Amino acid sequence: MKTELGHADLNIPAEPKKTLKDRVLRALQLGYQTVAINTVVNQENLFNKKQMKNAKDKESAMMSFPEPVKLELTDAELKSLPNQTKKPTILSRLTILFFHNDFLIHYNKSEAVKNYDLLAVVPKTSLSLLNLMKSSFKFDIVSLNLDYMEEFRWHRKLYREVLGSHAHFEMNYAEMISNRDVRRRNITLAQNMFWAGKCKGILLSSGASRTIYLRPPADVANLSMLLAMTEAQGKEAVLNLPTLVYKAALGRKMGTFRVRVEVVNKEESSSDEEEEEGMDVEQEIG
Amino acid sequence: MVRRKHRYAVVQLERTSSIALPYLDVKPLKASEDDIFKAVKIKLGELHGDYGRAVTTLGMRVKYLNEATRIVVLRARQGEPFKMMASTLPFVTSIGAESIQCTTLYIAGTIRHSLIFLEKRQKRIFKQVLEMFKSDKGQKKYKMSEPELKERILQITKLEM
Repeated sequence: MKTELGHADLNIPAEPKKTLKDRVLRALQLGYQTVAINTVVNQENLFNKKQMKNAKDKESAMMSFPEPVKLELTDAELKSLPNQTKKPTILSRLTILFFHNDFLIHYNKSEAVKNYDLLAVVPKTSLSLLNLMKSSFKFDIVSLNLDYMEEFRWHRKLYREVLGSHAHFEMNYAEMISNRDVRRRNITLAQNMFWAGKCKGILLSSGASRTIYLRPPADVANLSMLLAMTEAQGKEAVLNLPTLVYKAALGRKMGTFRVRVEVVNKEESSSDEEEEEGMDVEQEIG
Repeated sequence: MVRRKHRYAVVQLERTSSIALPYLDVKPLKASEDDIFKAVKIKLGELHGDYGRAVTTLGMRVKYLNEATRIVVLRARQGEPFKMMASTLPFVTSIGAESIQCTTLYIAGTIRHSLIFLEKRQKRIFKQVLEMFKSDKGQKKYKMSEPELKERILQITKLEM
């Protein structure tokens, strides 16, 4: 099973759907090896049968989580990519904007959520995040969305609790390029994260709704200078941390204390009796 | 005297109107070295303030500009000045009246290495462009008649001749 992702952009929004393929191709052409297509669901739009009738915004109202968006690249598109030796990886990701643990009722009933590779949450307040972490719900990423998390302040204890549950943080750079106000707020947020946890475990993703806001991995790593991170942290944010997030997500989906045995190379295993089975042990940590 | 070290960033300026399009963008850039230098300095001032402008003043220069391929080699002093300049480049979105996007291709310690990288890259891209001039059967067809060649170039670049 392939777990090394290389340079990765773990947040390419599925909306608008018309430009999704262009954005994914552009990211792969800029040097990313892995891309994750992000579907966003707001808890305010989740209703049961009775509530659906009285819902104000019927277009965005839903009763269950949607299926992940799938994208396949043609041979001609794959040939246009700079790296011809490795096939690119396209993952699926679900982001849940929540303010209360009630969304778990819809989550536990849904079959579609099991088809997503990555799971991210955006809490409205620190209390809602604390309550979520007390439950048995596990997630991979806490995405730092400035518009939804206006009342949020990070503290050392909460920061370490999130890292301790094998989750990581994520900051998006696309809006910083177009909007000066968002840029300032992101830099302030980075200073807050530095005070709370020295900016450990922070991913840098695009969150780009337009092709022109995507940047290559080297340029994204250089944003560490603005975001109170060291040079090494900046490079990790694009290269090593996405791989760690993906491995933690695999462990979360597999459950606790499961062992996966996989034959690595059938030709070698048949000739050499001692190395018959390639052991690929994966288990959820803790 | 201790040597003054620099870092050279090889940057490609892509027009936002021609990103991710299936044909080549062959129109030259309508900007001079001064225009590019000013655009980067203004953005530096916005992001890093007076300190950023002051720290990068000594040693920051446009060392190479090719309008046809839209490649720029920017130099800055090693260390903090270069880090500030490199962190500014993603935010440079316009030069003069043109809307562009900066892509850092390579960071070199000497101008010689940056030009060696450029040479290898241009040779690789030239081979890719020659592939576009192959006939439908996959045969090499570089010796074409003038009207054939014009038609093929128009197909690849969508230029109006």
